[in-house]
Amino acid sequence: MKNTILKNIIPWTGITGLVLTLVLVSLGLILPILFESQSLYYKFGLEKAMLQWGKIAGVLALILMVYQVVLVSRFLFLEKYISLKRLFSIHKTIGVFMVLLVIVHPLLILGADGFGFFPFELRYWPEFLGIFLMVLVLSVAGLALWYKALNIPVRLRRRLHRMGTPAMVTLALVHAGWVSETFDIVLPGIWLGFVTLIVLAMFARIYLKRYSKR
Amino acid sequence: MKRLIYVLIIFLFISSPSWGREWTLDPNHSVIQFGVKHIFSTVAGSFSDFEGKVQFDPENLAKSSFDFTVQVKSIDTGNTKRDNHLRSKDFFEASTWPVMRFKSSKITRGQGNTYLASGTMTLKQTSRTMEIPFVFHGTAPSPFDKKKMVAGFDSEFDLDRLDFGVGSGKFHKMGVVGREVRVKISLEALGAP
Repeated sequence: MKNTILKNIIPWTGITGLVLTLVLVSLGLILPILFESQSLYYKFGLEKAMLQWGKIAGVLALILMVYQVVLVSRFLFLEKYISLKRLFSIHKTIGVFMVLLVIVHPLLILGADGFGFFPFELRYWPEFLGIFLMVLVLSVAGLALWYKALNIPVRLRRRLHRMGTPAMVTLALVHAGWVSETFDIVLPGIWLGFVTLIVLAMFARIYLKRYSKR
Repeated sequence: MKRLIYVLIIFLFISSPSWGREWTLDPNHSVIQFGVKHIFSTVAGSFSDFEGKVQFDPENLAKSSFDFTVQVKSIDTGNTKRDNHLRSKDFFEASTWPVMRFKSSKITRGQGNTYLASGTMTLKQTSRTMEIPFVFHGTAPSPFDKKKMVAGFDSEFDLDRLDFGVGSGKFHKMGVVGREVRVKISLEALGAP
């Protein structure tokens, strides 16, 4: 069981895969810790830990979202070493972890402030975008996992998935950039900008490849 | 004839000013602001959602009163994270104590156009007697509608937030957030001529 789970997370076997995975996950852990937002200064004990881990869960979810795009971008060098079937299997497994992180992230963040909800004001748009994003992620994941039980044809499921996922990743990048003070700091801000460009380039490549065949 | 006299007496009783002159608060031209020390600087904020009953007649202070209610969740210090923290149980605990209220019991005149409103301030679960000084700027016909009168009030006073349990004192002990809060209120109210 353990080997199967590991195989479905790490596309490359051996040291390379392990190092790459550790680098990706470390980024998610390091960013909110090294580049602490001021909101953490005013929290202590359990509330501080909740806020800290909530931010880490959010960044990790974002990294996994980007990782997902890489996995399905039909890069030849990836398909050469790992089969397409296995890449999509990894994509599904990562998707489940991502959904769990997306659920945990707001629970920890809001829990750190005693689940006091913010008022319905325009200035809270990044937070409200986050709520919409969570609903979108759960819908996309739910559709992907249970389309058969919902009697949704495969083609329609694929079309909805392909429409929902670019919106999801783009909105996640916008949400992260505007909701967290961490990305107001230069290095994390540059990192986020760079990741956004890479993601947009990957989506553009996918769509150009897909629609140039028609 | 007797009946007519009785009707006249009742009419005079009803129309006589047995209460202070009533004014309707103009929320678009009234502000409740505050400032509190953060290490060295003063962080300013305001409450945007409030309502009040103003009954004020400088010639009839005994029948004058103020009764204001402020929605705590409307706090705005220009930083959404800070405002969320202020609404949390670390400070206002807005989900449990959504409003703060000041109701005056007596208004006395000071020098010139200054007055003192004595009353009860209720914040979270604490009610305390407070004396709030204010300036009455007088009344004037509204430049936009001569049929309406405008009255103006200004007040500035200090309040110890820890007296009302707004904060546990830990940030004050750390030297991060001051305990004295300077409150500035500026009101415009509309009334009949």
